[in-house]
Amino acid sequence: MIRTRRMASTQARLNIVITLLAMFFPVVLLSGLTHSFNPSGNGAVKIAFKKSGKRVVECDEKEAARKLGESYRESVRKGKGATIDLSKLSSCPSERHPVGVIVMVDGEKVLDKDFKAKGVRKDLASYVHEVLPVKAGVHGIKISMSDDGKKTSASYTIDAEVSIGPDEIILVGFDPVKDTLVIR
Amino acid sequence: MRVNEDIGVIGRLWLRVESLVNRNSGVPAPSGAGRELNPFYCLGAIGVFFLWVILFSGLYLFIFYRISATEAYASVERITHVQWYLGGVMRSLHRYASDGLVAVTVIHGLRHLALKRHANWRWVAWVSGVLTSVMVIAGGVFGYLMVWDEKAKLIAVYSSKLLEEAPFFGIPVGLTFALSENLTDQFFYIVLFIHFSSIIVIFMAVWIHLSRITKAMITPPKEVIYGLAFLLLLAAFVRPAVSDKAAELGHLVGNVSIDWFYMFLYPLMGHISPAWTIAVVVGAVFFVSVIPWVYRPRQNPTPSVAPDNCTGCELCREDCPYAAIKMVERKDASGYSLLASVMPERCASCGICAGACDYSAINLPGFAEEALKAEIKAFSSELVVNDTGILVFLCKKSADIKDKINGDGSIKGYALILALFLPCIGMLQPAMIDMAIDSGVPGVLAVGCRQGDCSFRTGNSWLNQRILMTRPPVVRRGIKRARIRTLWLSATETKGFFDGIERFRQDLSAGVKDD
Repeated sequence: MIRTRRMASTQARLNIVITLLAMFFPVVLLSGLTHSFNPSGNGAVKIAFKKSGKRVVECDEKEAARKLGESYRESVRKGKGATIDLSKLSSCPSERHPVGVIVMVDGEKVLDKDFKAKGVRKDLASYVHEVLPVKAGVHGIKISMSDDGKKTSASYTIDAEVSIGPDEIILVGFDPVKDTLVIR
Repeated sequence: MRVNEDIGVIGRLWLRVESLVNRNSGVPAPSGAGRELNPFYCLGAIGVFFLWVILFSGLYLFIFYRISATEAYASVERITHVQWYLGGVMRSLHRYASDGLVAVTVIHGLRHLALKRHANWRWVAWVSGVLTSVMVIAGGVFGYLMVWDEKAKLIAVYSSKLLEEAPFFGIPVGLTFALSENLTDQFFYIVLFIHFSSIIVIFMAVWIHLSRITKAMITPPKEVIYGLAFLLLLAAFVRPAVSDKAAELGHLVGNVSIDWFYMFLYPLMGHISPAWTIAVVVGAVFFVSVIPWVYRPRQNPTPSVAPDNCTGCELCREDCPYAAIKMVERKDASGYSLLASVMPERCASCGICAGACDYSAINLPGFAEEALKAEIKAFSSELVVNDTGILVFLCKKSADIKDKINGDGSIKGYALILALFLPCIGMLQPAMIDMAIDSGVPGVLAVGCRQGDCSFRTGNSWLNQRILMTRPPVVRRGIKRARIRTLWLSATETKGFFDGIERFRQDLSAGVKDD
């Protein structure tokens, strides 16, 4: 009786291992199967930068603040009380134009998009981020960027011939110090 | 006529697969109770075991991990290759336990769905289980980011596409991964924080998952633990977890070895847009979450408490597998201080509480105690004619014999065997067994679900313990245990039922010896 129990117990343990193995094998197998995310071997042009568009309505806040300060000092000097009306400053519209980007690859337009200014009042910078797949090889790339809402006259352009390898990314950024588009 | 409940084609198929595993997986315990070691019966506990492995291996890896954009990859490489004997093993355990966790979670959910154990009173467990799975996958994805290899780049680039679709992300997240210079240590701190938090949140979610059940099984049987530990270590040495190449942001995501348990969405994104991917994920999670309401098996009415009979002994509350009974204070003239009260929203209508009550204080509609006892009396009078008559108490979820049963409880082809169905074998009161034996019935056979797999979690264990006199109320000491037999079978194990009857009958004809 005891021997039978022991045998059943051994068989049971073996059964557990076999079952767990059957469950575990797919786990190990599926944990590292390769998948190709770029089967064609294309490269890409990545445009990624942050740029503020020009203001829709030019408003000289410095001048307005200076005038406000003067009138404040004047009213204090004349003993009319220390009152200041800041609403004149905040009424100055701060909305910015979107940043328009046009990308031509080998003379063909592959991107024509406006990147809106961020923020509730649309008064922050625009964030440009696009990945454009291109075949590996040498390509003529022309990028035009406008920040004043007039797409017909680009504020910035860059035109270059670049060699793109398979899976390689050519990055187009904006150098705020040199105030120019750059290709890396 | 009361017969077995139909579990459907998928349920039967599922149980057939489990029956293959059940061959020899019952270890006879000295008491004769038997202990089922089928891993399918402890998938949830296996999941919790994996969580512990993930936690401890993760803590070890954290000691040597460098939270830095420039050093993260190198530190993981050092852990994997320089310290291969411990760090590398820990990393593999972390990986394979994480993958195993997703696998068992999915099987656990599918099993409950196939066996119709997902709806009604179980909806909290179902919904929390679905949300826990989402958290497990999200937490795992963040873990892969920490390595900062090509897999991490894939996650970073593709996930940022998803996040950019979300309306609350104003700034394109993908800009962070446009240039290596954009990548800061802060990013790795955020990733680490989310990854660490995820395990805490997952443990909390597991707590919610188990909140409506009592005496939850959170540790698998030791044999299963040894088996899992062996397999995890085997995988760690045979196929150690290693990193891909270091992430190179100047290149597109190319061929990447991906972990399909966590990264299955990314290949999908090659075919559909990020917006559609979000729609598919949200839709899938929503659809799976509402399954308990869309596909809802019928539930029996809940039992009622007869205050006049309740002594406030708390045995019903103690035995209820779903914490559906609370004891309320009573101030009537009964002399008892507590009264049992059933919470219908939690109640499974299994009748286990009635099985624990010796005072006829709980009655399940359709299975009223007095009516059952009258049936037992009537059956007993038919079975006393010779020494091989057997009164069978059969759980409706156990061995499916509905095609073999006649309207009067007799079984086709078997003389002097009468079967009485119960919603769960845990509903069988020890007093009913006493009554049948006292009436002269030669043998009583109690048939329930496989040990470890009671449809109502604990019914079969409680009955077993009552027969063995280790759980009150007990089968009277004077009753010869050789005249009582138990069979633990799943719905598809009909042959086992008839084999068991034959064996019991042979033993009864050979004569019942005193215990």
